[in-house]
Amino acid sequence: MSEQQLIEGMKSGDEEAFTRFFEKYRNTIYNFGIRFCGNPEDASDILQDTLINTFKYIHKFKGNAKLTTWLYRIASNACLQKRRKENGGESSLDEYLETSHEAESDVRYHPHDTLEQKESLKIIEDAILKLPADYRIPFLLREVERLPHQEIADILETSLSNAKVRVHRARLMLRDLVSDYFKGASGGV
Amino acid sequence: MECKEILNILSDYVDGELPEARCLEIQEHMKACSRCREFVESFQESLEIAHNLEKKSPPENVCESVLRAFLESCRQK
Repeated sequence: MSEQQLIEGMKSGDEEAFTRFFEKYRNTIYNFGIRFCGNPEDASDILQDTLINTFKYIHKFKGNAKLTTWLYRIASNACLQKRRKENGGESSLDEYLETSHEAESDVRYHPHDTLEQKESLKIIEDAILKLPADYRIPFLLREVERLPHQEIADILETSLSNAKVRVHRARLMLRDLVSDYFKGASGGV
Repeated sequence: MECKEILNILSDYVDGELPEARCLEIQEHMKACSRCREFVESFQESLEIAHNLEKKSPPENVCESVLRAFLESCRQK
């Protein structure tokens, strides 16, 4: 079933199309959700909300963007809504500045040590969760999903330059959060 | 090139979006400035680690319940 057939099938209420859509995108959405929120329960909620909203708005999908671009947009909104419901508001730069010192540790990063590699993955996972939501989403889209800047701009419904700025700032924040883990890190330029 | 300049164009540098002459300027600066060298290296390493994060999949029981809820919502419309 091609992407076009999938979309048309969903628009006409074909259950097989919904099931195929689910099979095709469940891992992508779940992974995006768990990298955003950090726990399986919330990631499952994000998956469910994204799918239900996809169905709800599929009739509005005109095919001007890729289906995945549209899907990431719905998933991003589901992530932000989840966060707003739980925290009564979006995470802010202030919150990031308050929590960033928590990442400090004596652990050092040694790229050739397997145990240290596992630890470094955990450190980066945790640091991503400390990024403000408005920066975490572009960071995930760029560095985890490996999307081009233009597609990130389309997902965020912003300009290419704004998307690039947000990715750049998110990268600098992440580097700041993990700076102490890197051997020889000296705190910034 | 000044240290602060590197900070502003670092993403363009790691994304390969800078002209070669600009890249050479950064590389020359890093040879002389250990702080910038360490900063750029840790910046790049943190991104490389993020690229290698495990792709997580939903557990089977979650797939079943989410698909059931999804199809249910589709039938109700």
